[in-house]
Amino acid sequence: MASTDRGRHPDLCAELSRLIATLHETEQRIAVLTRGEVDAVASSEGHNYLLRQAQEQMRKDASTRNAAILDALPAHVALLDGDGLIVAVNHAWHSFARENGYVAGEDGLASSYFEACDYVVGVERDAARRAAAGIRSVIAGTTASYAQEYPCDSPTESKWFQLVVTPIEGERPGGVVVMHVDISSRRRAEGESAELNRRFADLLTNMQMASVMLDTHGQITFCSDHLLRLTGWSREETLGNDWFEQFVPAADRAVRSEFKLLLASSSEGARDDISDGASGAGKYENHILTRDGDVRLMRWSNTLQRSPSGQVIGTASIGEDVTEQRQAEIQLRHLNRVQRVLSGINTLIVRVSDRDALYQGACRIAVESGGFLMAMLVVVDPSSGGMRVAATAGKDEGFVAEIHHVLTTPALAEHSLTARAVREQQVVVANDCRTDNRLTLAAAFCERGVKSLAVFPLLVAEQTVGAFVLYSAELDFFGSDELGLLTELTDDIAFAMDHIEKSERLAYLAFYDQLTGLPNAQLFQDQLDRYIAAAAQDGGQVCVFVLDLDGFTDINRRLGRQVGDALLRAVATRLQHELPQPFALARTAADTFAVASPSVDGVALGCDRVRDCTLGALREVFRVAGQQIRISGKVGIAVFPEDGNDGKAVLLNAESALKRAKSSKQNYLYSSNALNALATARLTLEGELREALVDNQFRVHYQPRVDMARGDIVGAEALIRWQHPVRGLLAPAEFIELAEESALIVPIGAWMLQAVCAQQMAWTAAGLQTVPVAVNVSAVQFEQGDLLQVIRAALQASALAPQMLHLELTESAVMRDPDAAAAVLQAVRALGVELALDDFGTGYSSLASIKRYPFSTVKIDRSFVTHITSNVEDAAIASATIAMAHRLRLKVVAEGVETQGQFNYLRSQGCDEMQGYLFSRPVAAEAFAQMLRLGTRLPMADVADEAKPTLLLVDDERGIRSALTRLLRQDGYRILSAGSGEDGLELLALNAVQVIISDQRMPGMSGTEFLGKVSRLYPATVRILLSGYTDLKVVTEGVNQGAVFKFVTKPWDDDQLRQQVREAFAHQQTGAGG
Amino acid sequence: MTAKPLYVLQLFVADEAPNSVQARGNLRAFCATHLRGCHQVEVIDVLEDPARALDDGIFMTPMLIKRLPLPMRRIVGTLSDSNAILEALGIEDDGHGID
Repeated sequence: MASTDRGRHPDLCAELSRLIATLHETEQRIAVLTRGEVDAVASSEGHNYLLRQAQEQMRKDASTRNAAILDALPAHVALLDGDGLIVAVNHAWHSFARENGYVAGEDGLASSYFEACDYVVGVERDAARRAAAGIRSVIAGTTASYAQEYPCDSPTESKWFQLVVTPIEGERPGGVVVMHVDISSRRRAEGESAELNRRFADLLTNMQMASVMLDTHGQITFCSDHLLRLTGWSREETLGNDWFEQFVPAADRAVRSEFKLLLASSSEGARDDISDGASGAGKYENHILTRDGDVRLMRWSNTLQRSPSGQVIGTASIGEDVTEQRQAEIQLRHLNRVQRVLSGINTLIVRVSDRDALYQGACRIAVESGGFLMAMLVVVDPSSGGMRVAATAGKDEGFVAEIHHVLTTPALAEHSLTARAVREQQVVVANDCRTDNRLTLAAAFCERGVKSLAVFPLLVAEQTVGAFVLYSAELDFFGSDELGLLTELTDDIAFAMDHIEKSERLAYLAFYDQLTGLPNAQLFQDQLDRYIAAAAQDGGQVCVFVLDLDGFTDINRRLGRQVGDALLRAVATRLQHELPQPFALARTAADTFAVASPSVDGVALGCDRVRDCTLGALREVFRVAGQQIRISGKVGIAVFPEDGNDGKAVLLNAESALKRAKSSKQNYLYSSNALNALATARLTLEGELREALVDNQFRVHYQPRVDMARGDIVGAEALIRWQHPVRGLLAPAEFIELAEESALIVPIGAWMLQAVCAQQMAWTAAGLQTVPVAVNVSAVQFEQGDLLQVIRAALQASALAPQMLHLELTESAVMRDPDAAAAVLQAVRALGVELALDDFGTGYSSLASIKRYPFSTVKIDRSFVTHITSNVEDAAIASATIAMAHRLRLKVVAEGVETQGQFNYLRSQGCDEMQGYLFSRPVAAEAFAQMLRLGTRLPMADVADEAKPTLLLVDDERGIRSALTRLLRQDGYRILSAGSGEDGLELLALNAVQVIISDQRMPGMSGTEFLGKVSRLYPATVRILLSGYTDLKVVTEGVNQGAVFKFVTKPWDDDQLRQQVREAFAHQQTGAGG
Repeated sequence: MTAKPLYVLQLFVADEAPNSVQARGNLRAFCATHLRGCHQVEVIDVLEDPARALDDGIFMTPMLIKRLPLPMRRIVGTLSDSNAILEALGIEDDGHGID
């Protein structure tokens, strides 16, 4: 606007200048006033004026921004006008142009792009011409845009560019943007990849490995020449086909699932090929089919193929034909196995000596070492030609039964491969059981996984004696090499069979008596040695018997050899039936048999039983050859280890015992020193006992019984003694057992009763004040003898008052036949004879259960009395027995009372009478009479002392005992002191004690333990525990259990302790107890 | 403490002139700091819409107008001094601004 006025009014120019100056000044003033913070000012009409500063800044900002964007682009950008003149370039263009020196002048601005193109010569000329034409067409508007790729070798590098031409929109019609993008790296990459592809294809084509690529459906996308050659297919016949249908045998179905698994493994994000992958199927073997139907074994390496984006598009596999290699390996393995069997069986042959072990061993080795699925040994009967299964390994019972059925059914056996091998004496092989129609049990084989089998005939002296059958889980196992080795093996087995056969025949002849079929002396020796070895190990015994038939030679002579032989056979049979198992029986000489019997339950019993059986076998009449023959025998017996350390020695001793028996009247004799000695001793003793009865060698001793309250003799127990002419006076223990066994006890018992009654009468006649005497009655006497009659006889003979005779019986004597016992005892009691139950407490009966018998007295066994003052349980049993017995109105006698303590305790419990060393041992009749005459009595304790209040001090320290004694004596107590709990108990048994002071810490029994016992034995006492240790837990327990009445700590306060003791006595007198 | 009232503000600018650009930036920062959640800002370019500038009697940019709460206030400049703005707008700085 202003410019239009400029030329017309020259004056105005000055005016305008002023105005501008004013505006400028105004603007500056505004800027100053607003500290430059204002951008625009508006006129009153609403026109906005940007202040200069803001204008400039905005302009600058816009152009800088655009230039910056263009310059940041890596592409070379130039703006061309409608004539192809370069009007602007960006930084990339600028530097490229400068570096390569194409365009003269600064940036090439204002130069013609077309001219530049026209200058281009050489290989790039055509590209330059095309570029120029393209740009022109865009400028002309005939094409919307143009693009072209071209090489551009600058002096420094070889490059590829893409030229893009686009029209400039907007204010400058006809202009274009020309952009060159450097695509060298992309072009390079494409080139490399193409080269790689070419080389890879060459590799796959030329190498001697099969390679195949499959898409994800299993269709063949690539197939190497080698694979085609191997299989006989052409490329056209394979590409696009399903790999698995065309190449994989139907049996190998699993291969397709492996393939699917491989593809699936990729979706789990594993980018590795499968040789590294988790599936572990990098190496994979399977069979493939050739065009001709042959099968090859291939070992593949599989890899997943992926698209550039990582998608799995298929697999690539490289494979090697390992068919021959594998066959060689397999054969090597087979031969190794067969070798192992061979060596195993050879070892076996050397080792075994019996047929069954050989058969079993051979089968076992074939299966275990040879890896055969099953093995079977069939034996052929040489006479009938029949077959039988002798041993198998690896077969189930059902299968064995099936085979056995086939082999023993002639119609079936005839067609079996085994029969064929036996018949033809040739190895028969079935290398594929699935298809072999010669097999009778093909289905059964398939079911058990048998794929091939071979039958080897076992030949001995050109006769087939059997067949060895081997079953393999592999097809075609039996190749010619395998068969060669196995034939060698079966020859060895046949040899061993022959060998064993021969040696068995020899051995049988050598070890058996052909007449009776029993082992002979040599085999008997073997068996005996075996028994002895076992007995030596477990400490047992073995009895050996040698039986000789009396007068056998006579029979032979009178009735003929045949009858003699028949008799021997009959004796052998009878012995075999009669003898208790286990035994070894042999015929060791013409008319001699030997028996060995390991002891099962005690040698004496075992020997006697076998001896009786041996002799008993001859008792019945023998009926042989129409004759009735009675025969007797003599037996010699010897025992291991008493009669020898080995079989030979024992047998020899048995034979010499037999010799002695033959020359004696005995029909058997022991060799054993021990047994002989014992038997002799028993015999001797038995004889002597009989003589003793006759010669009146028995004596009666008397142990007095004392009344515990008064101390005088109230009775006696009669005890038998044997005045042996050589051995002196014998106690009952030395002869009563034998007397009972031999029933001599019955006359001895009768003698005893008579003797006692007679003695009593003699004493009465002599004017002695007699007391009742008790006689022991044994169980045997009770059962076998007529006890009632004997008693009656004894009483009558002596005219003794029955009240002066007592009988003592043990529980066991009564309990054997309780009803019979009750009857007899009632009758005895009816005579007026009192009965005592002896040894009470040692049996199992209760007092209540013996109520039915007319006992008047119970005798407490000495075993309870011995520890009665220290053992709480014994004391409890004794006092309970006493209390119970009293309730049943039975008198109680304690046996074996030896100490005053025992006596006092028993008396305190109310026991009526006692016998024991405390008063007197059993004494001879004269001594007892003397005691009666003198009125000997047990001295009773001092009554005065008894009356005094008594205190017991128990402490292991003597000093403390003395100190306490001194302190408490002044109060007038009788003071007893003991150094231990045990001694304290003894003193308590002897003395009436009211108060006890005991130390806690003592060696052995502690204070609380002691007082605990006291509280149960003597509950009326007051018990005080004294302790230097405040062992509160123990003391509390003692108090709680009622064992401790008071607790006093050490050191004590004298006055206080005296006061406490006084209180204790006062407490005791009130009868409250502790 | 009572809730802050809603501040209705108008900023008049001259395109992207340097002071206007600054004023916009400063106002955005000021609102975020002192008027969080209780402001409403309209930016008006006087070069594009001179009529509105005329209506409101805007004669200089950048200019901030506080429409609400009443009374209306006008501030010219780049709005670089927060305290001056607080004072001018009648906002008590409750201390929440400095966090």
